[in-house]
Amino acid sequence: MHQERAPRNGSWLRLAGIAVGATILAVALAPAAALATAKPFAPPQVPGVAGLPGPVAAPATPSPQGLKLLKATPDTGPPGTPFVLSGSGLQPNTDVDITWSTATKQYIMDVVPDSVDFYGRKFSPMAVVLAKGRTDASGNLSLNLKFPQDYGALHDIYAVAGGVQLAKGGVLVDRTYAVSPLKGPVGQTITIKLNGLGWLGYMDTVAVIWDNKYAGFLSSVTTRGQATATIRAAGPPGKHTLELVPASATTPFLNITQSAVGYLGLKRYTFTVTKDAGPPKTSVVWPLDIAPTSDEKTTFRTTTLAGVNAKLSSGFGPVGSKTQLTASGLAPGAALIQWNTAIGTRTGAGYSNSYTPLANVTVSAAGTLDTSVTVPDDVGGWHTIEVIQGGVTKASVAYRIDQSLYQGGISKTRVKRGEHVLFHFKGVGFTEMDNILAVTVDNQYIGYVCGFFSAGDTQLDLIASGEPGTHIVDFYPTIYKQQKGGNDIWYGATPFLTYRTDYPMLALGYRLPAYHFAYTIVK
Amino acid sequence: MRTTKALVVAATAAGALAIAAPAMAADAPFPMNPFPGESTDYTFNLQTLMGHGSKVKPAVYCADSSVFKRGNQIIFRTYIVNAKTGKVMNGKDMSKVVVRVLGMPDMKMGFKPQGGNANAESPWLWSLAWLVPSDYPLGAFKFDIVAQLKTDGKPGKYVTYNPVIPGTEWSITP
Repeated sequence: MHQERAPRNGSWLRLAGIAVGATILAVALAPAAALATAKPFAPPQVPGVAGLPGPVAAPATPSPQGLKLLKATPDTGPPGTPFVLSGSGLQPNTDVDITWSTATKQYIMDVVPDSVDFYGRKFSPMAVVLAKGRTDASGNLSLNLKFPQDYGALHDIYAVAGGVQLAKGGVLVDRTYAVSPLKGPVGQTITIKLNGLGWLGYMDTVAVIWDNKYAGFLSSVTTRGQATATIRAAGPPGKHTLELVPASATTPFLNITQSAVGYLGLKRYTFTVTKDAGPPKTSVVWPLDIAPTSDEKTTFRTTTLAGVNAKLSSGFGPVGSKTQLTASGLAPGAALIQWNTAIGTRTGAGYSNSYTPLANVTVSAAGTLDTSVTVPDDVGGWHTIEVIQGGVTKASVAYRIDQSLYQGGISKTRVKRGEHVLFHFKGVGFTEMDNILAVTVDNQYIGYVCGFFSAGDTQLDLIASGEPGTHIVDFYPTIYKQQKGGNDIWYGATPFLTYRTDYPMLALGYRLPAYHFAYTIVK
Repeated sequence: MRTTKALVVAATAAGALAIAAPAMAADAPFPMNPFPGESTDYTFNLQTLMGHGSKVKPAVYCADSSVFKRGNQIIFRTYIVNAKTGKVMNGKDMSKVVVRVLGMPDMKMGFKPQGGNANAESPWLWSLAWLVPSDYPLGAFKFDIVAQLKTDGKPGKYVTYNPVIPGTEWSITP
């Protein structure tokens, strides 16, 4: 009935006695299978994000006679910059394609029953046809073009005829920054919009530094150079420094201006905190409604048998939700509703899938089932609900537990220095990209909280410290770790500020929110 | 992409180790792994460095690099070695050696002591300084080296070296 899989990263036996709110019906041991199934996933379509700036160009090779130069005027500017592309000494009266070097970027993941593992980024360089032109009788070429909305940094431009590169030029697509507003009270939401980030490492992520404290990073891996995120104003009334610094991949590269990509530069702003009006209301901000590009899911799924149909009235919700399971084509009589999940820990004892009975039900004489299912208090993310009869899985459907606040999420918002503040969540996941939340206090990254071993129940006991006044606490999605098999610069556990539009798991249908809290220290 | 240090280019030939510039010995393995190589009669051991004639000052002069700004001076320098005999080809062996940079006239390399200091310890090699024009196209930087041998005292056959390292690319930046 069940596929078999060994627990990972440790012995399952050491998990004996762990209560995870689930009855373990079966944990089968088997040799760890080769996990060489990591692959790049197609980026989701994000509203406002352009696609490739032209059709993919056919391969081309340099002219045996040598290449001429193409001059771009200007040759530096943000996306949308008009420019004149000119050349001379080319073949007269010849149609040419103007090709633009760019790339596609994807996240590499491995979807397995008890996790989704992260392997980094993949970029695939390519050229697209930006425009078409024709040389005149003297072999001159002149075209009025625009820098397309695309990844930024350096782009090579070729004039190509019949698969032969005749001339070469190049431009720098500058990155642009927009930060707004630049003043407001403690907790003011500040929107950061970046455009023209490049496609190579060091170019597609930007770190946020607030008063010399690391607050997280923006990423444009799957959003073709565009990145939008928000942070909140923190600290006492007065002036504060906000810096946007290229990162690698998530860590600020503080002196990147001395590097080979020094032209990327960095940007500095002054933000004025106008007043402390007390703690703003708790808020939960979800990703944009983005359609996944893959239907791969975690936990074991068995094929619904021929002639059986099953569906849920809702395929997602927080713990404690109710969803109506309807099915037909079953055998009349008894059936078991079973919940597939993952249990364990990455701290050494290991983890694996487990199977929990939810309810014994009776299938009607017509072979139909119509029953309410209460979603268990369990880890978040994708699970499978099975209908089992006679030891055989007749149907399986996927259900996604979304994260939620428990009792408002924060225990108190007015405290004295040294008192404790408890933050409490449900439905934190079990994969390597939804099992933890990165935490910042007053825009300083302080660590993460994990919900796997505790079956999605996730708490942070924070000591109120600092000066009297309002302090903000934010929780962001992040990647717990990067697999050793990946060849990318290390990702790990810091706030993924662009989680709404550029997060690996968006391709898989996950929706991971950020949480924004505040408390005030009173004298 | 490999690091800048990886941009010390060795065409082939383990024998080139013996003629590596001493200043490079501690700085980078030299030559880089040349395998798989191509069968060739002549090898080129090329470096591109930041020149003192730069109008845009680099952090460190004479540093190997594959990334140059407009206004940087690029020093091309290379040994040319007869792969069969191991002989380092000097000014008497070659009719001319030129660097061909995309869009520029051919630029003749001279056989000179390293750094221009002619003393007993100075290694001699083929070199050329070129200032990247302020309007030179940005992006990938294409060049090759063409050497014309001298045969019986007369100009002979041409040998072309096109420096290509998988995963690495010279580039011009603002």
